[in-house]
Amino acid sequence: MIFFKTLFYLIVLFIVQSIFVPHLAIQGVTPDVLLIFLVYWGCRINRFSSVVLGFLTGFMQDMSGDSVAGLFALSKSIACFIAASLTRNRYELNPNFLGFVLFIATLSHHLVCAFVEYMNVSSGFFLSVLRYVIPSTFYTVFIGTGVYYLTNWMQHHIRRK
Amino acid sequence: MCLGCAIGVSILLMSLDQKPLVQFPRKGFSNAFGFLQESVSWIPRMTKVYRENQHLLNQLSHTAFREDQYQEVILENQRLRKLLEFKERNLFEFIPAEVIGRGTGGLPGSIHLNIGSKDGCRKNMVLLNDKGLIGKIVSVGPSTSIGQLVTDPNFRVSAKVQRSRVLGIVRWMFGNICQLDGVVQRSDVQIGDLIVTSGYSNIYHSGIAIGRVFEIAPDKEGLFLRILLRTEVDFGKVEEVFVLKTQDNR
Repeated sequence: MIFFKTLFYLIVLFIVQSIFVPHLAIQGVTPDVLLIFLVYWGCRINRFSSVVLGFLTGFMQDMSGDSVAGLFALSKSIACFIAASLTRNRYELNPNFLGFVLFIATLSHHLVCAFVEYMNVSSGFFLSVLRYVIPSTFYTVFIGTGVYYLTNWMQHHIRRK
Repeated sequence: MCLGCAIGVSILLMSLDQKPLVQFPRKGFSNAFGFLQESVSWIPRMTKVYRENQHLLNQLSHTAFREDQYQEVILENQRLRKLLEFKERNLFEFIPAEVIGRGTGGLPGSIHLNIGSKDGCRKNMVLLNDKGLIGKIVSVGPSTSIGQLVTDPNFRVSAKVQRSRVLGIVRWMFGNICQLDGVVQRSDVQIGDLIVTSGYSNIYHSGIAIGRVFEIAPDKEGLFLRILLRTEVDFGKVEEVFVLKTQDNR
């Protein structure tokens, strides 16, 4: 059941990422809602499942786009591994800490992507880190932390009721 | 262990990137995904459609008047051409397309279009709009296709300075800034020059606008010029494009 639930969320977020998120672009930089979800979800399951989830999400992204096949599978697996490792044995996941985990996971994800994409472009990697990786990471963390606060608030609200 | 497996499979996928083993499922995936995108892409367009509708209604009345005048001009042109025995120009045919989605990856390198092989779209056809070159088609499904934008880090196009015919290769840098590579020092390039496609390619026709030069400086090695140009196309906001329909992909 949880598999289908996760798959459903991922498909919805895929559509959101490709159709709605580009409208939030600032100078071509967009947040990665898939990563926001993966970190949130990945922190609540074990490390193995988290890496598998990240790999499958990345694989779906690879297959639906025109980037190098396997690139997002690799970067998302690493991001999920980091997220799951950082939150291991932590039972209380407050939004600030999740935001920090998201920051590390997003940064590693974008760095892997930029490294592979710009491998054959001289000085392109460092330029892309400045122009894309850092802004995109902060933008994702900004949106993500807001989402985590909102879900946290909603959970408390529901529990109280 | 699990991460090791994931990394291993990912690297294997990367090494098989252009092989049919990867391309075949990729096509199926992108078609299914394109279908999903197409079915919901109208939602963010609703407000834009309303504004456009109002604007177009205004334009229509002006255009109707102009249309009559143009008809007169066309007839006159035909008469004069006949008199001078000019051959008819081979005009290009365009397929209009809407952007129904963008690559879900972080780098802004691809767009998904609502046209496919059913509409006559084929791989390597050129994407452009009124402001200039946008990219090319890299994957075609029955009713959707994927376009590689100029902003893809792996995108390259042979180009020339329109005024002085100096040749180079354009690649994207960031935002709407591109660089013209391979232009030796003392070449005749000035700020404000228009850079267009050179036509020395199996894909791109000659004369498609790419951007205007805004910075010229010698590069570190001192052999070539570092020429930066600004594209007029805002790649982050492209919503409608034209596919240049050609018989031999050129």
